[in-house]
Amino acid sequence: MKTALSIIFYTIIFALLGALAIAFAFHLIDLTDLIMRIGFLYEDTRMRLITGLSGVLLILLSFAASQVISGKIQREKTIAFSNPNGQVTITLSAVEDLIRRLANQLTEIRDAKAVVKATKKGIDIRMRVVLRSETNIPDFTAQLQDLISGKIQEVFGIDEPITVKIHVAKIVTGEERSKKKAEKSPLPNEEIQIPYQGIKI
Amino acid sequence: MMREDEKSDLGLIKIHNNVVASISYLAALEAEGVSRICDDLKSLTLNMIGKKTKSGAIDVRSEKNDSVTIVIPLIVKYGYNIPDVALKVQDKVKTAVEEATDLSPKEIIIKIKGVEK
Repeated sequence: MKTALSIIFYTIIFALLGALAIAFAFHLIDLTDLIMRIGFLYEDTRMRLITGLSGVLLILLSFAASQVISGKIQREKTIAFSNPNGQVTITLSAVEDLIRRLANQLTEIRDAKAVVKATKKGIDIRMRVVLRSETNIPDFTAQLQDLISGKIQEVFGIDEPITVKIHVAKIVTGEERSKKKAEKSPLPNEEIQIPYQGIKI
Repeated sequence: MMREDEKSDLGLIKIHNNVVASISYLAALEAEGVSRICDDLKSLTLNMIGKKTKSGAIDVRSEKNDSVTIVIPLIVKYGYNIPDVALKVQDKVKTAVEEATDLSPKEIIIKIKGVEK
């Protein structure tokens, strides 16, 4: 209903603009009459107030309509199952959250991002990870795939097949890590010199 | 929306949907594994202007035949089994609403919006 109203709102606005443009192009609007009317709108205080308020109302309506339309378009995809008391839906962003938290617990992973898609064949997970250099990548990625699919099946109670695709985007060395640590803590073990220390007044 | 629930000798007793939402909110938070209930634009705005609500984004839909459907969007704590948490929330909310209002919810829809520590 809301979407239909928003579409009607935009249709009316664009139709009016189009009609005005056509009328202007075919000289259907008398220019002097138009200027006179605009002059009246400009001079009269009450008409100015009405015009201003209409403008504010149109802006608000436009925002509301765009929100409704974009909200419908970007409706979150979910995984759903039913319990005796009602339905349970899990947004895919919740699954992404879980994967990210799971990955961040592993010492081999420095950073991880996941995109989850629910398809007819099952759940498709695409992961982008940054690993530490000392990690055995084939072994670790295989373990990670098993861990993620197992955990999702356990936590969400999903029986559908889960595909986990891992993309190793970067491998960070130990030096890089220590450099970054050093950058983060600019004050090493040096003693801080306090000027005029020990002087009593 | 008000529900005309009971008629006593002195008059009608009406229970607002917000009351059912607040009961559901508090009951859902009691369930183990629930981190928090999601907020919506309305509850956030009310909180900002100082009107604290205890219903979050819980949506209570009442139908003509005196039945209610409760929609609860929530965030689950990391490490808990989500179907178990959802089942617990449904049970807790059903019991709490039945005890407090004598209404029997037709459906309690749980929407898991995220996982938090």
